[in-house]
Amino acid sequence: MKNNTELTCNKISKKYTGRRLFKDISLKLVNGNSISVTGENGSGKTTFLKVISGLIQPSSGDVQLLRNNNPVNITNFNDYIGFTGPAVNPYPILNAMENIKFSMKNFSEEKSLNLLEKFNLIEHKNKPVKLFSSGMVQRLRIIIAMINSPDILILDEPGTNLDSKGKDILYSILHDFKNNGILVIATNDIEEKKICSENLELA
Amino acid sequence: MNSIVRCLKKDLLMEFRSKTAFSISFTFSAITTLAISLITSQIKLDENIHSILLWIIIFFSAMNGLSHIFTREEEEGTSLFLMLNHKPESVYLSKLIFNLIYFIILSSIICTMYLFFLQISPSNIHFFIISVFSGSTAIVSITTILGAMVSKAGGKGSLLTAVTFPLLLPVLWTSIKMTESSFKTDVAPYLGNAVFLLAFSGLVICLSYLLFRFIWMEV
Repeated sequence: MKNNTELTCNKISKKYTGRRLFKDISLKLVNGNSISVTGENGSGKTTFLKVISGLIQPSSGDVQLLRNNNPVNITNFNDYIGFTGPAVNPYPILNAMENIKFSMKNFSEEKSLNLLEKFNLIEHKNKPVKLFSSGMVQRLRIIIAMINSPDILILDEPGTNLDSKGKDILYSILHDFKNNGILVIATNDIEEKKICSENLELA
Repeated sequence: MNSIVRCLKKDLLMEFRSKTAFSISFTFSAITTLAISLITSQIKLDENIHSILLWIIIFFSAMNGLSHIFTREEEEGTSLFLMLNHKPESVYLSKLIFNLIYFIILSSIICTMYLFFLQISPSNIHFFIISVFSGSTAIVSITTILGAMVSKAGGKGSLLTAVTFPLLLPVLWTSIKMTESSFKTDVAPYLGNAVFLLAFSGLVICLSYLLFRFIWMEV
């Protein structure tokens, strides 16, 4: 049965050492919603994603996650959110499969192989990540974000380093995902922005 | 529990492949023990000197190896990946268990080498083992949480030694006294010190478990 998920931000603001990144952002996202977050470099896109993922606290305002109308404690947000970005680095000394096993709550070989196959990494599953190209690492990051079938997928510049084939795979997966889950993408790429039905521009 | 096991497996696998922490600590302890045995070959040392030298080697081996478990996450940029997949409490407990396993193995090797090269033997071997085990547990409990703080502050192992030393003074003093009495034939073993060290470790572990989230997560 599909879960009813609702992510709400109430007037969230974030300041870093006196510098305001964003102020009083309010939004409500439910299943089937998708939003792109755009803005100049340094406008706070990544910080915004970290705040709504519960990874960092906002300076003011609050973030709420409801699952089947039950509030989720902010410390448990990661149980329902798949997050990835350029700063999420898999362990270079471990291979792709070991990194997936490390991330997967209930390991399923079939599901892991299926995702590796989709992203054309199946032949490299036993290769240490330190030998991967940056595009292959990006594919692995996306696999790991999706491996626990999250209700919400939050992606920071997901197309970075991907070739056209990798981007096609990513877009098709994101199109499928956004029909049932909540999708948030921080990007300045026009194609990635087009996937989402709404846009939030950070000044 | 599943999360702790996955984190611990990952750390063991990574250490098994890289052997970074173990080789640093093992090389340090082997060289130091050999140097001491060569320098003191013509001198008969008292039991208290043996005990002090042994704990100095154990202390600096701990400083060389124990912070590595957290600094590696920061150096390789994998701490966000770890943060996303596991709760802070699971991360803390898995790192603590890893450090305990690692340090008890290392302490056993250091003690064996020391007793062999310096050609001494404890009169009460059971009490000697208890003193090394309880002292090592206390060192690990403090070093694990301070290692996390130092790594988050962007510091290296050398900073850990400076930060840890004042906190470890009572632990080292008690451990030295215990080990010294295990070498002596005329002193009855006093288990109160071992109870103190284990209670101290328990308290530090409980406080660290409660506070770790605030050290580990960004604000």
